Amino acid sequence: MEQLAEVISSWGLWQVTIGQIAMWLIAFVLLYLAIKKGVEPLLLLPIGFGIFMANLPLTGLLEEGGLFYIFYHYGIANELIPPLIFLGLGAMTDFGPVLANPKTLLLGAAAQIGVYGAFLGALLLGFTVYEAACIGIIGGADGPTSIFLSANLAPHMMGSVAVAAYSYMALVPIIIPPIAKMLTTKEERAMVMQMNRWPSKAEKILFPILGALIIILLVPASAPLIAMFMLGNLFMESGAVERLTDVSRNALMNIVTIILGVAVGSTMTAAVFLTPKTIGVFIMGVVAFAFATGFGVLLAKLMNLLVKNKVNPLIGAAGVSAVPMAARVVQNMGMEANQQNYLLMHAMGPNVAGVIGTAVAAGAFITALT
Amino acid sequence: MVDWGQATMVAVSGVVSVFAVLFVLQIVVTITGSVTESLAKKQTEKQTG
Repeated sequence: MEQLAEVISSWGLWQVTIGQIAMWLIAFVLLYLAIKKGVEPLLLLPIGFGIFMANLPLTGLLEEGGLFYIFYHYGIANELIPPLIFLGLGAMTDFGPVLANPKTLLLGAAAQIGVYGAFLGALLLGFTVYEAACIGIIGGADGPTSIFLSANLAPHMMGSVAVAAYSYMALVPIIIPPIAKMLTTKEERAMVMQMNRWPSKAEKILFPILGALIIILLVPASAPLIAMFMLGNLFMESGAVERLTDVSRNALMNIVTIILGVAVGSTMTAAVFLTPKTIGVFIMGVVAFAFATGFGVLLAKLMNLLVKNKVNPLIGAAGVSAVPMAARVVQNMGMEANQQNYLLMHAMGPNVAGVIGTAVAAGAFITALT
Repeated sequence: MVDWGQATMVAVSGVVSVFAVLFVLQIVVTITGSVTESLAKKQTEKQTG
């Protein structure tokens, strides 16, 4: 009888706290959004389940040597997984639109002004300089980069920053249109752009080599992300390593995505997540996103005052790096204003430039703050 | 207490870094495009001529 009482008293059930139950509910909301609504399911499903498991008592998953500890410690804290995700992204990214119209690279840069605007805004709300940097980078709409920067500067914020980044990426079709419409006239949105030329295979092979050289020489701290991004792209564009291209963008990408999602979810314990700061992250996250979209559009308009071949200012909104969703939203907005307006390929330029820009912004934060 | 001087420097240096990188990249991409295009043109002329 005594033994039975001992077994029953050792159940985790008696250790459950209100905070943990609140985290289960948050986990279930994420699982619902991922499964039922299709909101970034590849990430939100493992993150949601990771949160759920991390908030069960007495599992040992988060203790040194525990499974989730290993995922987090070796995968994220050691900066392994975000660069591997970038390898896969590189093997899926076509830089053709950027090479065809190089000035769209600057539109990817413009969106990063929003990142720094939100960084200053987060400081006003009382976040530390490290936390503010992680909140600002949400505006870049790049999940792996947000996680990479949080791991470097504010690991305690990683869960909320990652969930905010992926949630807002999924909300691109809702966030971009009102801002882009507010900053453009119907005539501007209806402007048709011409594709001047299509880059050669040689240019596409040279780009990842020259790109890595320039970016890493100027911002060395961005090397882990940029090096893998460009390597993945070189795999694809060279056409010489089909197997490596395939494994980078499929098998490897899928494996590291599972570990990344679970590890990020496991950082969201009740004690860390249920704080007023989390609300601040979500508020400033959407501000960062809005700033990034707005600055992209404004720079495109400014560019039109200075260059001969004008661009449709809408493509500036694709400078946030939610690839390819931001470009698709721009395409839809262009067609809404003019049925003959096909902006997708033009918007892909600032869109992929935004990926580079956000990685560089993260590197610049690390350089300045560590 | 926020050190606004340092924070502003972080923001300004970040924006400058991003624009510098992408501006240099733009120039390199433009030059590479022109060079490869002219080389391709010359090769075509050689073959047809």
